[in-house]
Amino acid sequence: MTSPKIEVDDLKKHFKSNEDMFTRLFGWGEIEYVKAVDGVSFEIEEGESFGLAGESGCGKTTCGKSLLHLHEPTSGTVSFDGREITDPAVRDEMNFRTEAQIIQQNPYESINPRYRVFDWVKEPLDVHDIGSEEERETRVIETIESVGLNPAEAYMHEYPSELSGGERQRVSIARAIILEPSFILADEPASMLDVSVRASILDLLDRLQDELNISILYISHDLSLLKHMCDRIGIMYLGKLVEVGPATQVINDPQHPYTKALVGSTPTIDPDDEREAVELKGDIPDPVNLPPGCRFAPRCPEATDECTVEEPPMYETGDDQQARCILYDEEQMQTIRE
Amino acid sequence: MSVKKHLPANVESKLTSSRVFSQIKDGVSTAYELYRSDRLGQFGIVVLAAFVFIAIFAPIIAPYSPGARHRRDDGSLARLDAPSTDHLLGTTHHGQDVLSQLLVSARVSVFVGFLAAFIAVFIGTNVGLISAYYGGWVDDILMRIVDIAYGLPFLPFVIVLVFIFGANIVNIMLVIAAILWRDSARVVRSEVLSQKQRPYVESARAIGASDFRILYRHVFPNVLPLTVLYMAFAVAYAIMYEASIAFLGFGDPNVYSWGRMMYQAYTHGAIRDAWWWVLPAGVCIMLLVSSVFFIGRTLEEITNPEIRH
Amino acid sequence: MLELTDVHVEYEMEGDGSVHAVNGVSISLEENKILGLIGESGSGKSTLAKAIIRLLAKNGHVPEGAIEYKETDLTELSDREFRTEIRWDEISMVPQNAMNGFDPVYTVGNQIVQAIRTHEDVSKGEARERARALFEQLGIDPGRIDDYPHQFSGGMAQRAMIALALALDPSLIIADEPTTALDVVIQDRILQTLRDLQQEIESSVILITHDISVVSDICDEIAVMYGGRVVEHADVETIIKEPRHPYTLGLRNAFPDIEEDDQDLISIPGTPPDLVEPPEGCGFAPRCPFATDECWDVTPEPEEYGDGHVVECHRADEQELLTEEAKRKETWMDLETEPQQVAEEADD
Repeated sequence: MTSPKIEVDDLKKHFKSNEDMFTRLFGWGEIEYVKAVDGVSFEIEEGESFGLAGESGCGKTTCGKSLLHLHEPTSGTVSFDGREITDPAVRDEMNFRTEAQIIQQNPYESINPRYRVFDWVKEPLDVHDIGSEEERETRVIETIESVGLNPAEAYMHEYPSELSGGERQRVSIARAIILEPSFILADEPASMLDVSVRASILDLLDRLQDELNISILYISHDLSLLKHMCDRIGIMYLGKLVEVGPATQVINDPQHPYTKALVGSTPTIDPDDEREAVELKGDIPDPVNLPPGCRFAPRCPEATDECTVEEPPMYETGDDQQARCILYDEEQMQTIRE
Repeated sequence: MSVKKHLPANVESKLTSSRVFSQIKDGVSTAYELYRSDRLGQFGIVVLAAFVFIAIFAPIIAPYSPGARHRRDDGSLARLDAPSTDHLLGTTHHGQDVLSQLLVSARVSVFVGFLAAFIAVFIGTNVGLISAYYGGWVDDILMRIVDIAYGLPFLPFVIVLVFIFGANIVNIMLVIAAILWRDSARVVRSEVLSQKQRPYVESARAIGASDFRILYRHVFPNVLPLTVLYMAFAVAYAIMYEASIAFLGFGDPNVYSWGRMMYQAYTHGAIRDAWWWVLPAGVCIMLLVSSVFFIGRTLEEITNPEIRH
Repeated sequence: MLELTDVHVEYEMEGDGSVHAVNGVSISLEENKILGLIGESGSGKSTLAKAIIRLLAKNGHVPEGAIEYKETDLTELSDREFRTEIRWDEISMVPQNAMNGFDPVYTVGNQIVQAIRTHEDVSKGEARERARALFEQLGIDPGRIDDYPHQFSGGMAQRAMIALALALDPSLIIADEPTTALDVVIQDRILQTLRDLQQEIESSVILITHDISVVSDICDEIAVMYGGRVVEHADVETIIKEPRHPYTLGLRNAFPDIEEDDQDLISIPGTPPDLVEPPEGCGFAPRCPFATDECWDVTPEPEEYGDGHVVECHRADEQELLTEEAKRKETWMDLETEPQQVAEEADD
């Protein structure tokens, strides 16, 4: 059996929330941790698109960036083509930075304002010293055109401030694919764009994924978009995955009460559509002091006393679909019913 | 890549030439904007250019050697002579030509001003960049050093150092730089703290750019306008500091400077009598310093559009 | 209740020229209705709203047109009259970013009390009671009335902003992207609250958004804006199910719907029109796959098709054909190459 493209195992990223000079230099005082990512495991197959969804603050972006090693994970492992990239020696050896790239959310800030399009797209080639200067230029022009900025000459001398949001996002995509990576992290790639442009950017990503056989991790709060773009989806709540499964299945038939609430809250275009609204109590709790047991229990409409005892594991709920909810524990449900 | 396109052979040369051209164009248009945007800035540029010209060509323009002692027709030393056609700004207590000294002194002010400011801003910018970018204990330690530098009392610090290392112009310049670097360090640090949160820095990390590359190819160009601005202010302060040090008698005794001219006039008790010995030096200091401040002010308006109007 | 006739809004630019952000909008709104105003950025939807409540930026003005509210032409009122009689009393606004809407140095409750007391002659205690009641209605713990804005989460601040907007029982509430920055769960809750309260106090709402699914969820009517004009206006059912304007058809295609399993997203090629010198003819023609010579030359007039369904399009009568064709990706793709060829030729 071939190993998956990416395998994330019990990944944790805790940020120190109150560190100051005295704790840093002399170790005085007690440090509190924000558990942004708190034990996440999933796999992404080659050529697959996987979506991470959840509300802001659920840790989806931190998870993606830890996976790319833009954050040093606190614990857990990430394997890339079966090799543990949490080890810096392995990262160096496989030239990890040429294999995995990122497309960021905000096209208005993700391009250095002092760089022209040409230099910005070319920089990865400079950093990794690939090809001669002429070869680099040819390749940059080809890449700029392959993301739909035609003709390249019309764009490459521009500063980002002279481009529209959609054009900037295309430039970011060009920079991400110029090294022909096998994995891309797309962090809300279309959320800042206008509706009519959004579709064309998503289309472009879809096309490039097919052509270059890239695995993509989409991060978004927009379930409609993820359903459209992804093969599989994982729903995160307070640093943990609560449900994973095939995209259509998770959205059309959510199992975890939190997923149900998210899907129920997503507005639909059809005005006749009466969705079952799931009322959630309160706001998301503070990720420093997590509630005992299931972290969703305090807001869950279906919570029982059992829920606050122990953190539930992932249960199989259907074809390749898992949910972290005690409702799917046969034994537990048996005893509750009795 | 899927797209294969034949490129004309002259693409490369077109690329390089057009990039260089547009960079020059950008530079020129910024300078033009500076020139056009306000009259004080124009005044500053003209005055500064004049002083730089004088500094470079002082030995040629100066009518006499600044150290030469002139004698009157009757053979006596031309001590404290009032301005005349021979000596446009009169003579000193030692019978030396004031105008010649004044012109030659411009060299020290311009040289010390620019070099000390450059050293100060160079150190300050790097400290600010590194401190903010790496954060943690690096930041703690570097910023505490900056705090200490803020605690140094200027004159005692200068007197002690000059006493230890000797009063020559290089030492004085270094001492001034050692005082001035703290401002730019702090300002650059706070700007880098905000810049390093910007997504473009993360993008640079994602493509595998080294810390050095991120700091100097990505972050630095974005703090450069601020650096230039602080450079201008540092030049003004450096000129004033040099003049103060010389006026208090801690300057290099082998070099002519405006501060030293005033110091000598003062020690010979000539401040009340020989206005021509004191006033020109004072006016020059004021003109040069204010010209640099005016340029700085205009730069500030260009780099920070929010303060316009 | 609110009737706009041929409203224009211009922004004077530094140097010469002005941006024609709104270019002749005529639209009316009845009492007790929610009107959704949708369009992309630059379509003039926010500008129109700000013109109604007179909060345009300094360089913006209304050179033409009438804004009639309950039989008074708002454009003829002086700033002072508008401030004391209309704004907040009659028409209130919920801005996009609630955090910026509150003054950070006063408590939220204090600001609501102040707003009430500037317009109505009530005691401090009475005003405070009303503020607490509003908090309760909007699902915020009334105990938090003495908190400062920064102590609120984004969703709470937005709800408090709605409380402020409702404090004087206005007949018209303008909500400018009130939930864009929020998560779906909170968005849903706020939209439901807004709808419930609107029905309770029988006011009208203009909801501005770029999200077609938000408007279809809670609005009664939808007006689609493009290039400073309302290109299509009808009740929700009609706009969603039987649109006639190619732009509305295009928007519908470009929007991923959570209900659909295998949706082909189709984007609208091209870029929004130049608002400094709006070209002759239909503003959408350069991006429209169905544009004819007439579309390029003659600006279409609003025409009514059935019950209150107003469309500005020369080919609106060919609804069936357009709807069929617009579903095909190729229809929009063919166009993508053309404008560029034109541009290239122009370059030569």
